[in-house]
Amino acid sequence: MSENPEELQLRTAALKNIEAILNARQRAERDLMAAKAVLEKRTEELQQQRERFEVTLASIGDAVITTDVEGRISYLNAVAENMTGWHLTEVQGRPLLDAFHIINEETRTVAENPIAKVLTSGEVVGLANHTALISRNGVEVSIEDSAAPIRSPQGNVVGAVMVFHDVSRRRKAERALRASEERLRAVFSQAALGIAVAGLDGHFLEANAKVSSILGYSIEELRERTFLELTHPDDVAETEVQVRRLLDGEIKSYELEKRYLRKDGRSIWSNTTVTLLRKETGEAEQLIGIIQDITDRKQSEEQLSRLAAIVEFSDDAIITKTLDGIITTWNPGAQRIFGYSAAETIGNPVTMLIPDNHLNEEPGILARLRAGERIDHYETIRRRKDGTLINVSLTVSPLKNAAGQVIGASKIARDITAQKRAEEIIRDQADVLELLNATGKSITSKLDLQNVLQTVTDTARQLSGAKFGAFFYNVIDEQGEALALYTLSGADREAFEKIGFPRNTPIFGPTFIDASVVRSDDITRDARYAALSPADSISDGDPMVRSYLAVPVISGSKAIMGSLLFGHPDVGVFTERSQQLVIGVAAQAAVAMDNARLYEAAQREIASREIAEAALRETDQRKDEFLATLAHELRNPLAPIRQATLISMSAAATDEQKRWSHEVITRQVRHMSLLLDDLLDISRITRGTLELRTEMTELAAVVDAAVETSRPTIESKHHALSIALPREPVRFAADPLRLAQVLSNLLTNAAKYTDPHGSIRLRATAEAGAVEVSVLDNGIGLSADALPAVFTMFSQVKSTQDRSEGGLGIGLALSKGVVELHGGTLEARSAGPGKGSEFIVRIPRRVVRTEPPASAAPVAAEPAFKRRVLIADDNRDAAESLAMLLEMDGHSVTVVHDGIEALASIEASRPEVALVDIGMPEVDGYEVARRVRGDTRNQQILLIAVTGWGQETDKTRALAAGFDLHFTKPVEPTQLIELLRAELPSG
Amino acid sequence: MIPTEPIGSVPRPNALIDAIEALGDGTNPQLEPLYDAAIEETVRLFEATGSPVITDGEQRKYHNFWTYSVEGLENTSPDGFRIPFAAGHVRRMPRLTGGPFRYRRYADRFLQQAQRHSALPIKQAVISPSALSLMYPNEGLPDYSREEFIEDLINEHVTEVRRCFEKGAHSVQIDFTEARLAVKIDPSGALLASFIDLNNLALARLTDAERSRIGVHTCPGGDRDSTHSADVPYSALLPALFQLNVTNFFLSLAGERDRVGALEIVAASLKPAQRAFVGVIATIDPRLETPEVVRDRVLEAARHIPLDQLGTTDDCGFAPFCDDKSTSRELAFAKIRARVEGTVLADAILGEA
Repeated sequence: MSENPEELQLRTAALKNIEAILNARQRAERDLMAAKAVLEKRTEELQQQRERFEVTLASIGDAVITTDVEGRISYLNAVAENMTGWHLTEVQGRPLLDAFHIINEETRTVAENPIAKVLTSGEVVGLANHTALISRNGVEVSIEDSAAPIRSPQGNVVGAVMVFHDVSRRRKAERALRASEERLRAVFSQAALGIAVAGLDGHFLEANAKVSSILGYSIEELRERTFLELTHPDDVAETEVQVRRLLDGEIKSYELEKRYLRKDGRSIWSNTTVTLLRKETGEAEQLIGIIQDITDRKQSEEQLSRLAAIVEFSDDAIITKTLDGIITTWNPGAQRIFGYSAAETIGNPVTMLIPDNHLNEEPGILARLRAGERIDHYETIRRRKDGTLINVSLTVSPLKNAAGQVIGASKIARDITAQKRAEEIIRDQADVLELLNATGKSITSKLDLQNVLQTVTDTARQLSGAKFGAFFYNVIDEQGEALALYTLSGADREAFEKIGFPRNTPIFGPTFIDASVVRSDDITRDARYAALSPADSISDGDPMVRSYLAVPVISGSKAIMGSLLFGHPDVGVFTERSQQLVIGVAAQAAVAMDNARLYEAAQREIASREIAEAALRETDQRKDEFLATLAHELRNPLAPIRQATLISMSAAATDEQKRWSHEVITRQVRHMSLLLDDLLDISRITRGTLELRTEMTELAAVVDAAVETSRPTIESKHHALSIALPREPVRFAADPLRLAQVLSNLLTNAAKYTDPHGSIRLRATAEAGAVEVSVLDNGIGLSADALPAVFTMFSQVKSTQDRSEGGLGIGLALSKGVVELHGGTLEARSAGPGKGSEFIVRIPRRVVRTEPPASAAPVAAEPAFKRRVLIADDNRDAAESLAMLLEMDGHSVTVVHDGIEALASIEASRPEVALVDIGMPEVDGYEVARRVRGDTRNQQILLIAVTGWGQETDKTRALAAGFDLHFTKPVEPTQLIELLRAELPSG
Repeated sequence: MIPTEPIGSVPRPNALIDAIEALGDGTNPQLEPLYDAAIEETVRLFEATGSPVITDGEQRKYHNFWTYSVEGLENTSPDGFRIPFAAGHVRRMPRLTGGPFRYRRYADRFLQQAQRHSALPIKQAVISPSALSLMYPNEGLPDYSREEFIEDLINEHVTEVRRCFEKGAHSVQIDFTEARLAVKIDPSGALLASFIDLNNLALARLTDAERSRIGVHTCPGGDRDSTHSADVPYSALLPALFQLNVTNFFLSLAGERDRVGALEIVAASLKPAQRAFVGVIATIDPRLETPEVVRDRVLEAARHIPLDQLGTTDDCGFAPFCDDKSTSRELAFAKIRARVEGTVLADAILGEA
């Protein structure tokens, strides 16, 4: 015991509480005892209740089982004991399932424990359907009932009660009913007939699968439709009448063969039986229809009907017979073919139709039929009632009874006599066609016309069977004249001439005139022939021709190309067939002749083209050679120029040598200029741009100019030139310069191609219509074949290869072009090589009105004016050399090398004359001219275009730009110097 | 899984303790914000320990676990019995000055406040009727008999427990620390038997289901790292203690000198439906147990107590009195975490075995 006073005090106080606590405890215990007494009383009451309850439960018809909250059995009443086979004392406190085995009757699986479900959920539950109780001894009893929770006064679940009773008898009855319904349902759904139930408004209520199959609608789709909607429009009225009668009680049911419209639009036939169902009160309720699809039957009926019609109206004989060969049916077709009526044949053996020599066929046919075999298209001979034999095609099929046994035969006999005949004709025609085809191949394979004609004649004669034949045909010769020729077959020309085939007789002419065929079995008796005069008769004495056939040969363009004629001393040799054959041959002949002619034409065209190509090749070759010559001719002067230049520049050169050098350079430059002039001229002629400056021209002046030009060449070879001109002056319209160029050319050529010291004669004559100038030499001459080519371009090179005298060989071509521009001709003649040549120019005389030419101003020896000159040219050498020349003539010259400088210089110094190149960089000559003329201060300047472009269009363009004059390069310096020396035209 | 639960109290934040001291009254409304903050933080820290069951740390119990329900009653005076502690200090109870006896506040109000901050199960500790029975004065009261007092006391206790359950308490723990004190002051055992009778009278008014969620905590009284009855051997206490009609017993053990002896007595006294939550954290020991130490204490207990009747707890609340600063909050939560983790470690071992 502690001595601590605080603890002592605490203990004292605490111990004082003990009594109070004990009192409280005693009170509590008393209260507990009282409560216990109450509880015991209540327990006793409950026990009594329980006993009453148990008695009640024992006496009711249902089985009752109760469990505690754990699902352990607390009570079974007598019924439950009886049904489960367990006594309460055996299973009390044991889990429910120890005594209560339930299964699902259908699945045979253990059913859910209803007590467990109640205890879990606290809810009342009914037993599942189809529950069966398996008793202790294995007896199965169908049961039905429910389970419910047992709750304490506080509402807590303290157990469960299950009540159930035997429903085996009822379940059995239900099963039987269900089975019955299922059978009915099966019958309904699987019936071979369609069964449908419809309301009184016609809507389908129910239908089996067959109805769905017949009408093509699903059951659901049918429920949305009435049977009248699906009835064929043609059958609606009858259906409505029948339904009305049904509803009115006139009839109990009706049967109709009617059509329905399927969902797919097809119409089907049905046999529909409809019965009205009434309620117990007698009130109409539903319509039950049985629908049978009889479409096949209907179709079979229609088909049978059609077959009957076919048999009835068939052109073929349709006969049936027994296997003994006894005829059983006989259609009208048989009567038509064989001539017997049905009465005459039915019951008789079929052998009555068979000729004696074909009787052996029947046993074989019958044997095959008995074997079930069918005989197709058996062609044979049968006999008509009148004894005539006919070709028939038999198709015999076995007839079988329902068991499949062969009981007879159906025979279809077709009269094929006409067909056989037609086949023969076709065969014959095929032979002809084949023959013609072979002939055609033979003929058309030949391209030589004469060969073709002979083959045609021979073939046609053979095919026609003629003794002889001839092919008269027309040809056009090279001169376009028509000729009539002929080929022969079977007779020589002499014999044929004796026969005589006058073309213009009535019997012969038509084939040439209107393309008709003439065939005569005996021409001596033919009226057309009889009309002939004796001179035109085919023969005298024994006629060589009695049978006659004439067939025209007509081209694709319908032109008559000729005629095939055939004759034979016998009468009636030529038939329709032989005529057709010959017509066929004639057609083939026309094609072959066309081909042969086309082939010949093609051959000619090829030959012509080859000639042209050879000419082209030659021209091409001459052009190549010309170009080589051109290069050579242009290069030739360069050597002396270069050498002369070196000499003149040499300090050691004497004045004489320098002068000589200048002459060489001048001469060679002039020679090159002439070459280039010729080239330009020939180009212009070729392109048709050479322009003549036609004026009234004095012939003598032209000749003088020409002689003057060619004189150096003539004299260099010491030729003798004689000139003979008309005494009177001859004036005519011509370009004097060009004409002089032509004559000079002829004279120079004569000089070139004539050995030194030769003779050249120029003779001119003038007539009213023309002026003719001839240049004749005694030079190398020309061969006859060279003459036509002498005017061809570049011809010189080839013909004078061995002795070329220089030049480009274009002189004669150029001369011919110039003369022809004047409307004249240039002709070459020669007696042959070494025999000289003559060239004759003819110019038609025409008169043009012209003013007499103004006399040229005399050119002073010294310049009258010192000019201020501007030279603008980007070719520095050209500009500088020209400037030097002009300065040497006393003018003041400024040189620039482009358009900008030119404009600046003009602005600065205002020259009197400006020589402006057209093709300059930056600003070209045209632009310079336009700008210069754009300034009024520059109007007095003489603007001269200097350019390589010398066409009229070029000049026109230069003048339009503001130039006063147009000089074509190279500018002849003397020409320019003379211009500057003279008084300038106003700018 | 071995269940583990706290006893209840956790040291209040110093700011709150200082404020209470400064105002001299823990019920002053000015303290409300501090109480709210303390509870919210305590719950959050408690959750962080991983403890599957938590408390509000008894932050609002003023002035302590014993008197919180009667603090401020007008029919009391502060000059009640003194309870001396081994450390030398004394706690004094209020004295009832007149009837009828009614609680001024029930513990369910603390529970509700904690529930606002956590979804974890919350345990609520209440004071035993036997502890409050000591309020009745030695000399009695003229118009209020001791019997009337006892009846009122039982009713109030039952009311408090029911209110806690109605508000959603995970469990209710009856603090019965005076049990050991009763043996100390009355070694005959008569006082302890009286206390147990009184408490059983109250428990008899509750249902079996309610009693299955009620536990009793006893310890030598922990306050300022001191006890009032640690010298009382468990052998004198435990056999009687297990006569209490409750399911769970929360027993201080970690701080016991003879743990094994105590465990043997527990094992001998424990009835089949009862569970012993043994203390594995010495709450008045300033040293932090490691989870391994805790684990070993659990394994030790498991050697004596069937696993399905074993749970772990702290020896006592960490601060049954509101002004107790002897243990820091940090240490208290660290010890709680060690209890949780050590129990898990032991459970893993025992689960494998």
